[in-house]
Amino acid sequence: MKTGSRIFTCSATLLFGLAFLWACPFDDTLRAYLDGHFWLPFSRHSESFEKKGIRRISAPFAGMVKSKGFQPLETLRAAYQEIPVPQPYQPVAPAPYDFAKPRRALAAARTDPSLSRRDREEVDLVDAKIDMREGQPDQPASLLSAKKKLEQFLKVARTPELLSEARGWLAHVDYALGDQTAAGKIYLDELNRNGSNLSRETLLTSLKMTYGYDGGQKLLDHLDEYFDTPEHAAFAIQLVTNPHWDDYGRNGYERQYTRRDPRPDRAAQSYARIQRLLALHTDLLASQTGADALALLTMRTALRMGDPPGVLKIAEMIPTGDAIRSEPDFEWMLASAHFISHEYAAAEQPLLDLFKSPRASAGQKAAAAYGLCGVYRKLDNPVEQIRFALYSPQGDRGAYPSDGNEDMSVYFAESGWDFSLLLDAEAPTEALKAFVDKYPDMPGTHLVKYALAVRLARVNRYEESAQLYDSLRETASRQKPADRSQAYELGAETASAIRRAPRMRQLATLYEEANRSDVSSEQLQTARYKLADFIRSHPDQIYFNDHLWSGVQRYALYANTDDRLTGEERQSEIDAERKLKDDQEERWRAYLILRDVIRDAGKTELGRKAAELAVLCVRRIARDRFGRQDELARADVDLSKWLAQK
Amino acid sequence: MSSPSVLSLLVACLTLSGCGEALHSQQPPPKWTTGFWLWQGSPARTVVLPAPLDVLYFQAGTIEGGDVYNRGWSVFANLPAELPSAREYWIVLRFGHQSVPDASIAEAVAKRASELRALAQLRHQWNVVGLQLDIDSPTRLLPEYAKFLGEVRKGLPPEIQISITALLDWFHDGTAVTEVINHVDEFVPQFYDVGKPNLYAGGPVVAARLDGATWGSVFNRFQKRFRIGVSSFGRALRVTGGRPEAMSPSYIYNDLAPVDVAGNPAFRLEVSKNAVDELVLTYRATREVSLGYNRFPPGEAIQFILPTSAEIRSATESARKIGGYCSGVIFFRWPSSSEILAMEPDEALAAAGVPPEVKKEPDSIEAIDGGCAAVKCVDIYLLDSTPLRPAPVRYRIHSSEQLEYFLPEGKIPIRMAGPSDLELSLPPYGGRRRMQLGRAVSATRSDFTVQEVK
Repeated sequence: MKTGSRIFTCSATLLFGLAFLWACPFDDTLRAYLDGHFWLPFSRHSESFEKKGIRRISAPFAGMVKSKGFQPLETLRAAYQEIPVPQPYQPVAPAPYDFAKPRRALAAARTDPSLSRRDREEVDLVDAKIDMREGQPDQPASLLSAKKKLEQFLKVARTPELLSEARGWLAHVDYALGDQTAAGKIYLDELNRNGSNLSRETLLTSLKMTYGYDGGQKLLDHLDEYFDTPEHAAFAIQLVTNPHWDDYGRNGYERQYTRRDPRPDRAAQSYARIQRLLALHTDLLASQTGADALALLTMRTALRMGDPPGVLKIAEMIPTGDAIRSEPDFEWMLASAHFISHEYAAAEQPLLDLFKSPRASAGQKAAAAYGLCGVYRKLDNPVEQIRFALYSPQGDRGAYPSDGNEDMSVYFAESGWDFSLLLDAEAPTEALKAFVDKYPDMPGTHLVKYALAVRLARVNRYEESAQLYDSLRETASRQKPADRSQAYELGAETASAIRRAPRMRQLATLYEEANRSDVSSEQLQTARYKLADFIRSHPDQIYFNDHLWSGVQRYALYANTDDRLTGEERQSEIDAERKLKDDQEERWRAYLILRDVIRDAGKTELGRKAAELAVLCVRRIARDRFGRQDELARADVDLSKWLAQK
Repeated sequence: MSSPSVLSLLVACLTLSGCGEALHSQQPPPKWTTGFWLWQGSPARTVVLPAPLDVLYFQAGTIEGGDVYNRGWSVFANLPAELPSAREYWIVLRFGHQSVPDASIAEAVAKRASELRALAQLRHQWNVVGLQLDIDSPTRLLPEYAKFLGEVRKGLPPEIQISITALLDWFHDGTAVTEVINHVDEFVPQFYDVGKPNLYAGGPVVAARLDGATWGSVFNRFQKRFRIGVSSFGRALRVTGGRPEAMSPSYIYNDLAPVDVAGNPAFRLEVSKNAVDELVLTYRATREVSLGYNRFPPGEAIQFILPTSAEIRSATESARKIGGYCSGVIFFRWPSSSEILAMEPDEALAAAGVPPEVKKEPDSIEAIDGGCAAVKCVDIYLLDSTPLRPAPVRYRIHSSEQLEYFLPEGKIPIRMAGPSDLELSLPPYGGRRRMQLGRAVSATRSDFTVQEVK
């Protein structure tokens, strides 16, 4: 029973663990600025087209006032309210409703001579709504009848709230009949109409249902029909040029066996058509704001369709000092076009402008900061790269900005791997030092200092490392953490610094002893042995940066399969990763020292001890993470044989 | 004539006239048609044909119910977003159990078919002419099936015809197949997977031999239009047992292709043809080997049974010889976008002698942008016009620009053979119609060409 219960507990825990991992995989974004889709225009949604300060009303819909009496209109209202509203995802289809009852009530209401004009209009609208309720997409006859009645109603009715409602239902019927263009235009107009009787939420949801993310093929097919008003045109063009990440994350199996979603390609193939439409309808965008909108739309289209020179050409035509140049969209698209054209230096200024812009949202600033990381990487400016890798829109490195920048096509790598890899392997030690000197008070500098202390230890500069750990402890004691997580981070870091500082001092002494030239060979080998023994007995406590990786470092080291780098960059990145693995693995470094001791001490007591310790080191290295499997296996065999020899 | 004699004569006349009526005889069909079934699951392979198909039977959905959960009966059916172009379409509803749906669902079946037909016309202008029911009724339940069909017929408008797929077992003497066929406008006997549910009953074979002379008289006696269901799909099986006659299947793979095994030196290839001219490739493990999560002890094998032009040609010719009410062949099936073992539609049509034959495209390279910002990275695909070559083949792929590097896809045997060249070596039957080779990275845009190295 006890065993059964234990098995059950273990299985449940394992299942829960697997479910958790499946549901919450860690973020593995790295060097996202090397992805083409990172530089696409910001995506647009229904909310993006909403004007500020629209006044709405909230009057009861036709037939929806609660009936109190038995007058024909009240009876009609009661009968209309009885019609069941279709519910999606019903497990069992409801029994068909008999529409004869509301129709009888309708006929009675029509004959009532006491009705006011407004009442009569309500009756007319309820008439159309009964048809609409009866109609279904699969049975369009009633829907077509409802459409006809609603159109007629809109021609003759005068009650504003009923007119607004009727427009909403007409859009609904158009949607049900599959007419995206007609439905969408009505919803969009109503969204920005003062006095609309349709709620903002209803309209935004309806627009989302009508268009989805990018309007699909229907929007592409009917694009020309949106060039009747500037608002419709801007809406259609921006939606149709929404960025797509469809191929992003397609694994090898999917690439081998399936074709990617053809829709983005179809949109891209429409570039010439969109350009022609924009050129043909310049009159729509003739005002100053219209001209600005046209410029932005044209840039957006060019960028989305993969024509960065086109973007730069339009940008050049806009005079310096023009207000449009300080639009976040403009700055982003200009920088994107430069980056994709490999003009990295030219991308710097617009990104800096966007980063500093008071008009930019937190998400847009995060996009600029991450973009700048890419720019400075390409310009080989690790100090500034660290600065922007440290940027956090919420004061917490790696956190999402509150306005959901992931929804704008830009991904601010939550993994933090860019930052970790930069500090741990890519940036030279001198760059870390230069950064600390240049930005001593920047939030997050303590992380750079900690990384610098680790890096100095890796090059055996233990005393300097100890001093840095000391200074971190002192700085931490003066700092007031902004929140709990920062307090936790600072606390953990201070604790590590407190432990590491004396360890570094011990190492400094051991290292000095192991490198003396004024002692006998035997003394020297003994000192080296002691140094190696100390190092191997502190795994992950000397050369490994315990504040950067959260236990998932190995997944960030994939330069050999990263196809976004140039050949030279890829090789340099592969070398840097190898060096990091070698430099940070205490047991490997201890083994290397011991190997020299064995060589120099030969078959002595010390030599044997060194060999025994070396075998331990070699066997305890996590080979799947560290690599050099063959080398380690060979060393194990050689050492074992050596020890077996008399 | 005595009263009993008159009565007997009257009964006989009435019976005969009843039989004649029941057979609903039609005029023999005038035109020979060739078509496909298209099955649900994944999008259909896009194939450009010089002319629309004669007929396409597309699975729109299923009839559900009668299972152990006793959840009641229902019909789930919708139109696919896209279909290959055809002059005539049939909506297919499948019932997945070895049984007959309850007659209570017949009305809903008819209603949904009518709705779908209207929608198909409204949205796509597809000319839907009928409803086909794919129901593997056990022979003993044929009277029940006939009743069900009668109910469906009652609910359908006259312009919607009824077709059924038919199992060959039904046509043995003494069955109620006549009752069933009385209720339909067309039946389609299926000449494949005859040994269901033991798919290996006749050895490594998918198709069934069509003996036109024998089957012609069987089918023509109903005086109803029929088409012959011919297999154009393949199958991958795991088989145990050393000698071919002793082999038995233990697992069917849905997504395995010869290319996945061909390059593995732990498997030895045995090539043969079965009795109906299908190609049988047996990859036998020569030592213990793992393939994905599957372990193969020595002697176990993966077997591919693949359709061939010869098999299709032979089946089609036999069907043509049947004459009478036989109005064509239907191939099972039009491949889905990711299907590997089914024959390409143009190949099947060419084998069936449907003119004009599509000119075979030469081997080529498809380069799909990989979306890199700072370099030009492209996924390279080989479009192989003859993926199942019996001999090894070597390709040289040339890039117009120097490559920075090339990352092969999985274990594809490709390597850089120079700054602008790649070399691909494929073992026999080791191709794929569209094979991703890997990702090429260059500083600027590059064009790729391919040449077979002789």
